[in-house]
Amino acid sequence: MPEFTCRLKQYRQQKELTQEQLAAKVGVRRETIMRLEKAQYNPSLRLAVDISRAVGAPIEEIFLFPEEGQSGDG
Amino acid sequence: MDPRLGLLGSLGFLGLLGFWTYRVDRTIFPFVFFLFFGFFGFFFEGRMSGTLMDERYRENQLRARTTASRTALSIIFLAVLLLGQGRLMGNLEVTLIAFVIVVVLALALELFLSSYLLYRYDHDEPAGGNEA
Repeated sequence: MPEFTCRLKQYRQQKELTQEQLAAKVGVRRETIMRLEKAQYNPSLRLAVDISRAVGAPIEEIFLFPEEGQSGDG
Repeated sequence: MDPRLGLLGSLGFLGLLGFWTYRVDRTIFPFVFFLFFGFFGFFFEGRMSGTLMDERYRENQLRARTTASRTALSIIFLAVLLLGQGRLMGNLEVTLIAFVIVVVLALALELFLSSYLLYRYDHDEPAGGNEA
């Protein structure tokens, strides 16, 4: 199970798109969008970019991955 | 594809003829018909036909094929180890028959599992309802 938070539903609703419409736009099945929204599927970079363009939001704001370790920058 | 094509899997029972033909004229070829059991997978393939093959579908397909192949290979591997000694019931011929049956059934299982697991991965994973 992917360990990330997905805010796709929020951005999709802002754009007034149904799962079906978004799925058609990015060329996947509605079930895939459904699982993405529930963070049950880790998409490819290609799909993530397509979704990001379709909902007009940056990838890093749609898919939130917890940071691993600490940044060493001082 | 029509899911009813899965009924072709019943042809696998023709393999049982092998026991009869072996007794009559020592022919073991009919055991190969057990391979048709794999056609039961057409039932699941038929139910999946018409599905858009997006990246999740392809990932599941790869996962299903890998699991199916590993299972079949494990069975064949064990069969080679155990039956390769050629001493099943102290008879080389019986060992050969057992080996043919096991290998054919393993191949049938591989055919079936790759369709069945794809269907299961696609449908049984927790998903949730339809949301607008």
